[in-house]
Amino acid sequence: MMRVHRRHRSLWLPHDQSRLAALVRPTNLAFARLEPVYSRRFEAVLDLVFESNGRYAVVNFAILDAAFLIDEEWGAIVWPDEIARIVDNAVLRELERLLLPWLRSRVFVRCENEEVRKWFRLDAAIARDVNEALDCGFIGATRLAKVVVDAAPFVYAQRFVARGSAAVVASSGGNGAALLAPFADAVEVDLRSRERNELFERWFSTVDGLRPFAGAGPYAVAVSDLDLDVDTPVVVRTSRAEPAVLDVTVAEPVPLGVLLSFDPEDSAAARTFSVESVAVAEPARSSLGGAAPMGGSKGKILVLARENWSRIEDVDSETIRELSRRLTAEGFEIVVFDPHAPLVPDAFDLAHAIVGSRDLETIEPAVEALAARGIPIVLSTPVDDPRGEAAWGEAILLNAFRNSNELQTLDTYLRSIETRLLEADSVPAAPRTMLNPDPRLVRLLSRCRAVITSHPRESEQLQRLYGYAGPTVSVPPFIPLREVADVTAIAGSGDFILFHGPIDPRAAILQLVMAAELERLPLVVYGPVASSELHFDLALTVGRYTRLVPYSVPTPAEVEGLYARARTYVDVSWTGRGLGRFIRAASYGASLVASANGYAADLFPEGAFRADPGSVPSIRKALREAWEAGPAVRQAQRSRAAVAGDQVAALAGAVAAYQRAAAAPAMS
Amino acid sequence: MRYSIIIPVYNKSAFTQQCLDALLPTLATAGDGEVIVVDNASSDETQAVLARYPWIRLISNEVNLGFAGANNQAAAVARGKHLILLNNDTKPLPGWLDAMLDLADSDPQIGAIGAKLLFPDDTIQHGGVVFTNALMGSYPRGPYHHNYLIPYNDPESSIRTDFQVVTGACLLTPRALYERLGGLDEVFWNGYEDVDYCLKVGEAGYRVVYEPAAMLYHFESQSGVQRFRKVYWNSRILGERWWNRPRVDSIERNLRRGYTRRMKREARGSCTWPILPAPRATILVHGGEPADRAAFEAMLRRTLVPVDAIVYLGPEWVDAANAAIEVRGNRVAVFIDARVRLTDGWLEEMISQLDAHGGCIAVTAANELPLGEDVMSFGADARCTAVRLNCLPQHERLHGASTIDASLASLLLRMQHQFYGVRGVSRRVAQTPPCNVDPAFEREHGFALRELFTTAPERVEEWLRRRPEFERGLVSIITLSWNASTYTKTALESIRKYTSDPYEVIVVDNGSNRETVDFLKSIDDPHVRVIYNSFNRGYAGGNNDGLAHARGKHVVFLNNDVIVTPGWLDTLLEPFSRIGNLGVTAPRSNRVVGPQVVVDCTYNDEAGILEYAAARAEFWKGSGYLTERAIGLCLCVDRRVLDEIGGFDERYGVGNFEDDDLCIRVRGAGYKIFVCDDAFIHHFGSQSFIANKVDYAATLEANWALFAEKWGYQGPIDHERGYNPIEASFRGFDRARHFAPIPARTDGAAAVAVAERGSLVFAVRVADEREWQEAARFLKRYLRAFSAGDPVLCSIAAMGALDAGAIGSRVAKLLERLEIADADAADVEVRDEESVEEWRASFSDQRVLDATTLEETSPSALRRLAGLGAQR
Repeated sequence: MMRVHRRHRSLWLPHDQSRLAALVRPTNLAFARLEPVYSRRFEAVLDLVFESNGRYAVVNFAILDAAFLIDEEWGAIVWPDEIARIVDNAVLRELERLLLPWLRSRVFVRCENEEVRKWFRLDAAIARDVNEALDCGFIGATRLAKVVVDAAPFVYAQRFVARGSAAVVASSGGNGAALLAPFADAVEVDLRSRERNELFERWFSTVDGLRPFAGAGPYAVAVSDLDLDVDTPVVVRTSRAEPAVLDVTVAEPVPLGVLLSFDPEDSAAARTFSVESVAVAEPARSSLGGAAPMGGSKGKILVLARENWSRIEDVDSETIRELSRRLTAEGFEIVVFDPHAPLVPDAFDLAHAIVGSRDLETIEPAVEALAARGIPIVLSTPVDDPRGEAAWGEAILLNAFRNSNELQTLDTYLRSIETRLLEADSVPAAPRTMLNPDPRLVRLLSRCRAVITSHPRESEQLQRLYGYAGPTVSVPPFIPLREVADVTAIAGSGDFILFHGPIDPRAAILQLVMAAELERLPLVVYGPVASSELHFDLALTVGRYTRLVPYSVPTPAEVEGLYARARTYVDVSWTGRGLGRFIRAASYGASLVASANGYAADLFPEGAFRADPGSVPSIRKALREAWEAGPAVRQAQRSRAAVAGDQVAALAGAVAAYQRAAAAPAMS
Repeated sequence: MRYSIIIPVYNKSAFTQQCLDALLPTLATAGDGEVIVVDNASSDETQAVLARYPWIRLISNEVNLGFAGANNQAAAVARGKHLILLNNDTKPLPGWLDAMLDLADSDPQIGAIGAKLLFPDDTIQHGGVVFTNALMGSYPRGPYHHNYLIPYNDPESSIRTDFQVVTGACLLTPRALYERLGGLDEVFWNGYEDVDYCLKVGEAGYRVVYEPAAMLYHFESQSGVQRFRKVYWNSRILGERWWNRPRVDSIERNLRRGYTRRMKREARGSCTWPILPAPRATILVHGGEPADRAAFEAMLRRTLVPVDAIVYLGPEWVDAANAAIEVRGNRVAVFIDARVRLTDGWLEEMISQLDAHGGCIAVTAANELPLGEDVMSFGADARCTAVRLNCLPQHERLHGASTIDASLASLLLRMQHQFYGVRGVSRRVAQTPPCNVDPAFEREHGFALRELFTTAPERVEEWLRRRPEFERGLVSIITLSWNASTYTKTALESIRKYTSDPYEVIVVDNGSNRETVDFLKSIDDPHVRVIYNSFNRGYAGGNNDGLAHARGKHVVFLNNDVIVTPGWLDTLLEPFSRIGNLGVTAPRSNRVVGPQVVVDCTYNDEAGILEYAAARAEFWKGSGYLTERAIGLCLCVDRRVLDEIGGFDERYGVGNFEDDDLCIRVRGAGYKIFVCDDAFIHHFGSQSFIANKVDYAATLEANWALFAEKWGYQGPIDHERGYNPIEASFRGFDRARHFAPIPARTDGAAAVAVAERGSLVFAVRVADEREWQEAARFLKRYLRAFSAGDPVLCSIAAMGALDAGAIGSRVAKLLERLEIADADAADVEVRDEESVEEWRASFSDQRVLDATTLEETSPSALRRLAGLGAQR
């Protein structure tokens, strides 16, 4: 097996298999280009150009792992995995034998800092074509940074073109057209010069889906530099919910790990381009109605939450906001606990703790103080990890990343995670059943007079695992209703699978992304970055089918827009939390993929599929089933969500819990 | 106002609070000053915390301006003569501010002052910044904290010193200069802006000084992940802006302490730059006697590199030079022409180049080469060349040639086939005499010596394409048997099924019980030979016995409680074709100590093992990792290595640490050890120990004592952390002290010879009790195979402790036990002999057969050998 990578797949050329396989032969190797890149390892990008009868095949974005030129612990050349799939491994091995002496002489011996070009065949016609390809900025002849910056509008446009036609009328649009090709039915191309068009056709002879520009339209995406000054950015014209013009900045490519970024925070701006949009799509409507006020309640309630609940958005944050809003509308006075302000227990009639198991300690002193003064305390369940795997999954996943720089290594780790074979220093080894209940939670439960759960099975868990014998009230999750914004710029114009939640190892996002990529299903990962280490590595893992959209401050309407558009909603986190998000997605008719660790799938017998958070195959299967079930279950999902997410029942349930707490004695 | 302290903060309020609390008492004696805190839009309780300190000037930003932006913002409103940039994750210690201000006021040419920053465990976090020429990505200079992690009270770190850069975590600079230089460059985002600023200070002609009297704790990089957000961007800007202008000063500063920071290849391709003991130099002078030897030696010794010896090479230069470089280890051999003229720092520069580039075995200062960061030479001669000896495998030596230049050049060219290049010095440190002409070299290689100094990579490429292809030869698989015959049987069966030719198996039976010996005798496989020891010679002794009889180009030491899997041997051999200087390969296994173990073995039976191994072989094809230590469960060793370093050290007895010992010698002799991810063998695990009730723990402790004494480790065995094998391999393999002799076949215990003299004579030597056991084992088979009248003779030579009389009576007893009457027995003679040589000479007129062919030969095979029919 060859060494392969899947880095920056949006920059790979989409080859026709038979045409590429026919051209990629050691005897056809005409030209190679080696370009050192900034990376955590000593790496360089290797582009190879093959020629036969005036037609070319460009194998771009092979990576040279230069350390292995000295001690060949593994192959020094890491091929794009599609190339390894198309081209016979024996041919690639033969190519490596041909290339290695050259690479050794240029890189390990000479420590080059600059691009190195090598002619493997001295042929005047080839030399002329390669040099012209360089003038055109074509992949294979051109430096990576230029390729990336030039192709950025086209890579940006990849998300809009799904199943439509694209038109590229731009002198520097050759690479971009080729990179758009796998996303479109066809890409019509005019590089605004007969010679360029001819070379383009021969240079990208193995790339499928390219046609001369005919102007027939309509186009899902049109990229053009017509009628514009030379220095003016390219314009991407595409479809959106509302007509708009957006200026997009392309950051100067820096390390190999990031390379193409539209985030100006990453590095200096290399260029900008405009995105113009037309057309309107009707957003979906949630089946969750607004809760009617019941009115007339009284009381001052302290909400106990983790310290950063308002900055790191998660299900607790949503619950706190929505619960507070609704209770306030009912006449309650709500104060959210500030750990840095003095607490006056007697000022409150009741306290409601809403925290995850990781944050129990932050509210412990307040709970003790309130309990000491006899203030009734209600707890929204922190039994969010019924199988006790979350901490394990989190630590193991990060360890797997730290120890993997190859797909193969990572794959082995993932398979071991699937069978729960791995151990980490910081967490107990498998089996990770919760034989010993968390003493912090036991302590907290002993101070509570009522517990609000989101599912009857959580109530059972409290009894079984923690011996809690007090009153429990099972209450539907609070789900805020928001404006629906157009999210085409985020999610593209086609259907997609949504994950919404913190980008955190506990969410098993790596497995999710890999599953979606392998199934070739469009996935939008939308959430705050809770683990920048994971985010960095995920950025290397995502491929053509995943959009990783980290945010620091969410736009509520944008969030809602994503739910409204999602065909399938997925959350296979180790904790199995976030019932409300499933209900919200189902309220728009989305099919669901839920963690086998949680209860979400119980609520939607037809449209929800369970997946093991540690198993990529399991997630793949569930994603595929949910995706295909999507349209058929839409109406049933909405109806079920309307019941499961009844907001009147939610509020009534919470108030009932408060009443029971006020009436119940303290547990100890 | 004397000073303005500027503290940018972004969250981490607890650190800010700790910093401010510690800061206040230190201000009392520093005169008039101010503390400006810039809150970079913290989202935690920082604002509330800062409100508790009314004595600070607070600037609150709505957005995070970064470190540079915040400092510049505060500097614009600062009133002090000196600015002190201070991180909020520091904790100032008493006197820090006075020390910095007093120094600043003492010399107007000082443009920046840095402090000694400590980690909470009182080791140094920052003691100035030094530059190495280790590539920072693809840039030629890398800044590092000096004296990192050494104890705070280290004497050298307590000396006030000029540096090129000090850290911005605590940096004093005159406000006027700060304004003149434009402050910190905001193009950087929380990284390298301080490096850039200090370099600008230096460029403007000011001093940058490290003041160790100013001490602070530094809880480094507590500002969160944002701190590293733009690390690539920052280093790229720094690299492109300053390129190679910062002076490489780490080598000099570290060498003063006896260390160097060198590139070290870790397993699986990653590189680190740890601080390691500096290499020691042996200088080999050739080309005549310098006119003023004392002055010449003084010139040679004007270096911080410890010089072990200066050797003058005369006409017998080959032997002398090889003797001088015989012990490899952490050393460099510097070849110097007596006519060379050196400048100060000559050897530091050469060591610096070698340390920065793991792929280079030598650096040369030939005049013919251009100067620069990346000047690689096709080769080098001996006029002024330093060779890193721990990259030079022990079997590679200088060959006799007409000149030492040609000899060294050939050696380095051979090493290029092991993927080690030669580098040119980046600055002129030596004036070398003109390159010699060597017609013999030219005839041999097809180019002149002066062409070695071409920097054209095409030449290197062409040379690399001439690398000889790896050719597999016979492989000798040595396995020990000590009872537990079921396992041996299983192992041999799997070897027979899954091993490709050519190979031989040498089973060394270490005095097993009758059942095992019977099994071994019953083996009918042309690949297998058995050597019988009458008692347990241990892992080392038994393997050495096998080694004595091994004929392979590679030798595999394999436990007998294993199941090998298809393709295992080819997989173990394959890395020898692509990894330079490879000495040992080893497989992964289900039960083995350390990283060789595979944790996800899911099979239940032999079929499962094969399936699992096949999947692994496909999945991990070509993958593995270099290591310092492989486990003796299965070691595939290049025979040349064993010839250089010897076999296993037999002092380790029954087992434990003899494989560690071998690995240290392998590494110390300049060879590499590689674990193949794609080779998998199943290991039942310590079956010999279990079957024979060996006290494993006691053996471990006893052998550790021996191992530690031999290799210089202190203290009892550390079961958790083990030992650092690099310490020992750095000392190098010293043949005089470390060679483990392999018993010679002719002198071995089973010294059985066969000669033809009309009839067939089996000649057996007996020198001691052990050899008698061997001889008796053979004699039994002989007496069972033949009877009186057969044209054979067993001639026993008695020497040493046992005389002919003693042996004669034992032979008689043996006949009695076998219930063979004297009259019926085949001929046996016993005679006293003085020496092996004389004894063997008595057969000199006959064709002496390979003695070992008899050791495992069954009675029927013996008869066939004698040309006789079926057994009597």
